[in-house]
This record gives sequence, structure tokens and C-alpha cells, in this order.
Amino acid sequence: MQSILIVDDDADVRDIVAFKLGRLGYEVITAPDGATGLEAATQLRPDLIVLDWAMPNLTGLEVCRQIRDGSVHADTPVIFLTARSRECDIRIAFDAGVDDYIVKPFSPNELANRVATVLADKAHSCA
Amino acid sequence: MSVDERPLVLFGEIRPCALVVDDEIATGDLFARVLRDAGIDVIVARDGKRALEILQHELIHLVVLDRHMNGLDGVEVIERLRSEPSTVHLPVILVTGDTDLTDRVYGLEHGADDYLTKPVELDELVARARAQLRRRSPDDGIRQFVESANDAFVSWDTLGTITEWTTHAEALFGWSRTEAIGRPFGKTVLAPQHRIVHALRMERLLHDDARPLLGTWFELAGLRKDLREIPIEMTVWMVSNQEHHTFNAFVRDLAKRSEIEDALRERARLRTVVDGVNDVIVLTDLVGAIVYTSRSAQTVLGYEPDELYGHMFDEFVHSEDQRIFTRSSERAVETASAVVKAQRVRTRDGRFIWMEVTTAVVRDALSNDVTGLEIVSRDITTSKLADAARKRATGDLTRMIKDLRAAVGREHQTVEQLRERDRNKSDLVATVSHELRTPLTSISAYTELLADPSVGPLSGQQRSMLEVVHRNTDRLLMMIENLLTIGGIESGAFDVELRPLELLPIVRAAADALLPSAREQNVAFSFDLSNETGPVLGDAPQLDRVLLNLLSNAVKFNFEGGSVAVSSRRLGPDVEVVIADTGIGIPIDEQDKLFAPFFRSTVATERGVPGSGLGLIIVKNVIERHGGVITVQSTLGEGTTARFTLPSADTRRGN
Repeated sequence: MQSILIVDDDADVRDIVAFKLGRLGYEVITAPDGATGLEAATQLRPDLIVLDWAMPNLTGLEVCRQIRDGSVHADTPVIFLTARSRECDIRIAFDAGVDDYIVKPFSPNELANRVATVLADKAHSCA
Repeated sequence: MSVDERPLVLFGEIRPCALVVDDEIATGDLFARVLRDAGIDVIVARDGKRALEILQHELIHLVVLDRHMNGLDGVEVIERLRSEPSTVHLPVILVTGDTDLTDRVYGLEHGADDYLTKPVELDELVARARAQLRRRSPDDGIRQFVESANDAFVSWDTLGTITEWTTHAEALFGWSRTEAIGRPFGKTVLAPQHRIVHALRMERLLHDDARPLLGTWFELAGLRKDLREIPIEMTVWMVSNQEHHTFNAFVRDLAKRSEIEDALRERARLRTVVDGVNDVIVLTDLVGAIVYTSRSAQTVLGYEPDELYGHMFDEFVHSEDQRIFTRSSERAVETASAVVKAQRVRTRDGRFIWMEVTTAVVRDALSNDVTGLEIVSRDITTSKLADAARKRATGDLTRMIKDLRAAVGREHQTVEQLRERDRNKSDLVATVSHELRTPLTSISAYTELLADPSVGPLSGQQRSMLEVVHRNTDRLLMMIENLLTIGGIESGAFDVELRPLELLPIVRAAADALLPSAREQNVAFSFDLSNETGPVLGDAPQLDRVLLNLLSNAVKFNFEGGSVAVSSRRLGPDVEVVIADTGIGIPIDEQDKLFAPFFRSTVATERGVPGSGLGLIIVKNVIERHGGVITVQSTLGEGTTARFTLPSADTRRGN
């Protein structure tokens, strides 16, 4: 079973994503802020991370950068799920090494599709 | 005071000295005591050999010589004395042990000046000794003495007239004794630059408070008869006899000493250098009178040396600067360091030139006494004028820079305030955007999840209700987006980046995005985007927004089976894009409100066409930011045509 870490300070969003992905058969872990999210990512080594941008303690951007700079599991797929929709924001996120970018408000179905796509790409590139 | 009792004065305080030569200790001591009592210094020698040794080292004015002695006897000593130039005229009183006439004659014939017979009458000894000392004039005595020295000896009186001139002096200066005597000492013997200092020294010697100068050697430039300058050193003392004063000097030829020669060659080289530079070098004596000038005094100031010698330097300083010069001189003496001040110096033709004047004291190499001032002046007229001009210019510049800085400062402040305002606005847009999206995210996502069949079955009514929620959520989201876009455009948060773009792909992308709804209404797109127009200058994402907006309007407000035609053409330096639909059209009275915020046509509201009433405002903003113009023409029931221009990327084709 593939595990997915959801890091978002909005409990509603955590519930929505956990509900949707859980029903699709993923093992879902949640974290309410950036620091906890980074800790969880290091300890639990999920197969994919869904990251909010604006969060207390550590921003999603910083979490992503630290995962990418880390020696272990630096290639864990990261999908940004954020209200930031400006082009410059999206560019910055991709520069930081995210695999996909979804703007809030979002469609849970679309999120599920993108998660599946990113995981498939990962599996494909590893194979 | 009788003539006999007159004290003999040869060298100032120096008393006459007699040498008593006798091999009988008692006799010698007796003679010595008697002569000392008479005011004559006495040295006693026990034999002839010792006597000759003493005569080599001591200044002796009279010899009292025993005729019969062991070793060298008296007559032999006299013969030796008369064969030496330094003692040839030295008075000798021969003392014979008997009254033998032949002996006395023998003695006198061999050079004795007088004789005494033993037993000697002591009063007679004193009388004869005095007679002998008097017979030799003091000058003779001195001459006799000085002729023996290796140095030239010169004497002159208080008027400066030369009174004595030895053979060494003849050799050194080239004047014979006869020629020299009667001439003025300073002018005859000294180079011009030393004459005043010399005169001052003589003046000092005449005063009671003057310390004796004998033994103090001054290095000077001497002047030969052939006017050649020679390096000399000189020591001077004064002999006073009653009211009569005589100056005596030993003069040495420095050029004879090779080590000094080297130094002089170096000095000559330096002199050449000094004469070559444009700095005017002036030496003064203690009172400030000029005693030396470099050749540059002539080239820079126009004065011949003779016009400067003896004059005070400050005579040539501008009256307004004389205080500066005086204070510089005083400070130079007080602090023993060089003082540099700018002063105006008068040239021979009466002009004043700015000079940087360095004043320093000059000291005697041996005594370290201050002998005068060294004044080195450099022409700084040019730099002084340049300085003044520079100062004026600098003053102006400084003011201008200050004004500019103030202006720039104000500009900065204004710009900073504007930026701050923009930042605030931009930040506000981002913040509002985030804050509004968060609740909408939950609404929108849960609406979708509720409709998911896997969550649970929904009744048909429930499903349609959820669709209304979903549609209005989308609409609210669109309105927020548009509001934020307008806010962003107005605050400058959305900058337009102009790049050369091909229109066709952008138009096609927008049409593709609208294809589903176009198909729904059976509306056809047609494109006539000629390559002839060439690329435009535009911001791709912004133009996307414009085309999406205009094309979606053209689809939404169209009839079933209608069409939307997109074409482009060249219009001067611009490219015009035309979007014409065969739609419902806009009532005439509403057409001028099309670009007002939140305006929605009655056509839209009546037919329930979704919209925020903000789309066209955004379009207009974006087009205007590209430097273009947008116009909308519409006929109710026939259709609407929107035209906008964009700058062409190919300006060569422009008219």
C-alpha cells in the first residue's frame, strides 16, 4: 500500500484529501504544519507528499526544499496544493522541485488523478 | 702707568711666557720665581734638549738660557733656535757663568739678544727680560708665532682694514702681503654671501657679552684674488689693548683636505642641482639679511644676486603677507622645524607672484648655533589660481550636489512611498486571495465529494440542488478571481511583459478551451489570422485572459447555430484583432456601460448567463497596458464585434 503524507494547516483540507485518497486505497498520514510535516516525511518516508504553501512553523516551500536537499528520499514526489495562483509563485514552486501544482479551490477528483499520475511517473522512472 | 709697567697683552688674556733653561735646579727655580713675580709666566727646562722640545709645543716669548750645561750647551741651543724659522727671532738672554768677554761676544755673535753674568742680579734679570719682551712688538711676536703655523693668519682692525697677512695667507688667497694690508677684510677674503654674517660676528666680538670665538671654526666660502671661491674654515679672536682692538684669524684651506674635497664636490653637485631647480633658495643671516641666493632668484624673480645681498627677505614679501612671513620665521626658530606658508613675493618688475615659502633655521655644523634662515620659495601662481578656481567650482559643485542629493532624496522618498503603497496593495491582493480561497476550497471540495456516488446515493433533487451550489461556488470563485485581477492590475501587481508573439496559437488555445461550450450551443469558430500581420508585442498569459474573455462572451451571447469569426489585419504600427459574433447583441443604451464595473447586460441577466460583470474591465485594462485600444460595436439581434489593437513586433512594416 502506498502512503501519502498530507501537510496542511487547514483541517478541512486535510479531511477532504484524506477522505478522498483513503477511499482510493492509499495509506494517508496528515500533519498540521511545516515542521511536523518535515519530521513525518523524514521518519515515515511516504511515497508522496501533498503540501500546502502557507503554513506556520515552516512553509511548504521550505519543507520541499529541505526534502530535496536531504540525502535520503530526496526524490519523494511532492504535489503543491495551495491558494497561491500567481504565475511567479508557480514558477518558484517548480524551481524548488515540486512535481505538480494544484490551485485551491480544487477538485478532489482532479487531485486524485494527479496523485495517481505522479506516482505512476515515479514508478515508471524508477523501473 | 709708566711704559715699563704697562701690561703686555698679546692674545687677549694671554700673558708673556719665558722659558728658563738651566741645569742647576736652584738657579732655574730662583729665576722662575723672580720673573713670575714680575708678571711673566715661566716654564723651566733642565737641559737644552728639553728646552727645544718645549719650544716646539709651547708659546714662548723669551728664553733665558744658561751658557754652560751638560749635554747641549747654551750656544748650541741658540744655534738650533736660529736655524728654525719659528724661533729665528725669538729673544734669547744668555747667562754666562763668568765675566769672560770672549764668551759674551761669542754668545751675541751666535744669536743671543742679551746676556747676564753670574751671579745674576735679580732686578737686572727682570729689567733685561722686560726689555727683550718690549723690543719685540706684540705683532712681531704673533707674526713670528703664526708664521710657524700651518694655517694662514690674518689680522684686521675695527674698521675692517687688514693689518697682518702671513705667507700662508698669500698662498691661500693670492694677495701678497703688501697688496693685502690696507684692503677691507670682508670684501677681500670672503665670498659675498658670508660678508654680513662675518660683520655681525665682529660686532658681537666687540661687545662684552660676546663669548670668545677662538677655537670655534666657521666653514665659509673664501674669495681668492682671481675671484675663485674656495672653501675655508676660520677661527677669529679679538685682541684688545687699551682702546685699541685687533681681530685675528686663522684661516684653513678646506680644499686641501681630501675628505672635505669630496664633500665639497658633493656640495658643488648639489649647488648645480639647486641652481637647476625653480625653487628660489635664499639664506639669511641672524637678522634676516640675505647672504645667499640660488641662481633661480634671477630666473624666477628677476633679481641679480647683488640686488638681494644685504637686503631683508621680507622687503620682497607683499605687505599683506609680511606678518605671515615674520611669524613663519619666528616659528621656524622656536620649533626648529620648517614652516611652509603661501606668500606673495615681489619680482624685480614689481609683480607679485604666489610662492610657497618654506622657512627653516640654518645651524653651524660644528657649534650648532643658529646662523640664519633658509628660505625656499616655489612659484605656485598657477596652482594658486587653479586652487581659487577649483574652490569656486567645488563650491558650486558642492551646492549642486547637495541640491541634487536633496532632490534625489525627495524622489526616493516619493518612490519609496509609492512602492510601499504598491507593496501593501500587492500584499493585500495576495492576502485577500488566500483568505477568500480557503473557505471556498472547503465548500467546493465538499460539494464535489457529496456528489461522489461512492459516498452514498443522492436523490435526483439533491443532485440538482448540489449542482446549484457547485455552479454558484464557481461563480463566486470567478468573481473573486476577477476582483483580485483588477486589484492586481491596478496596483501593478500584474506587470505586462511584452514579447514578440504569434497571434494564431493564442487564439486557437482560447478557442480550444471554449470548444465544449461552443459545441453545446452549436457555435462555430472561424479564423482568418493572416501571417501578413506578423507577430505582435504582448504578454501571453494576459492575452490568453483577453481572448478567453472575449471569445466566451461571443459564445455565451450567441444564438444556437451561430458563428464567431476571428480575424486580424495590419493597422499602421499596430495589429488589429477583430472578434465578430452573430449573437444577440447589446441594447444601444447599454453599450456605453459595457466597461463599467459589475455591469451586466439585461441580455445576460434575463437569460441567466453566468458572469461577474468584471470581465470586460479586465480586458480593457490589459489591452491598454499593451498600448492598445478596444472598441465594441453591437447591433441588437445581429451580433457584436469587438476590435482591439496590439503593437506590432515588426516595426519595419509600420508607416
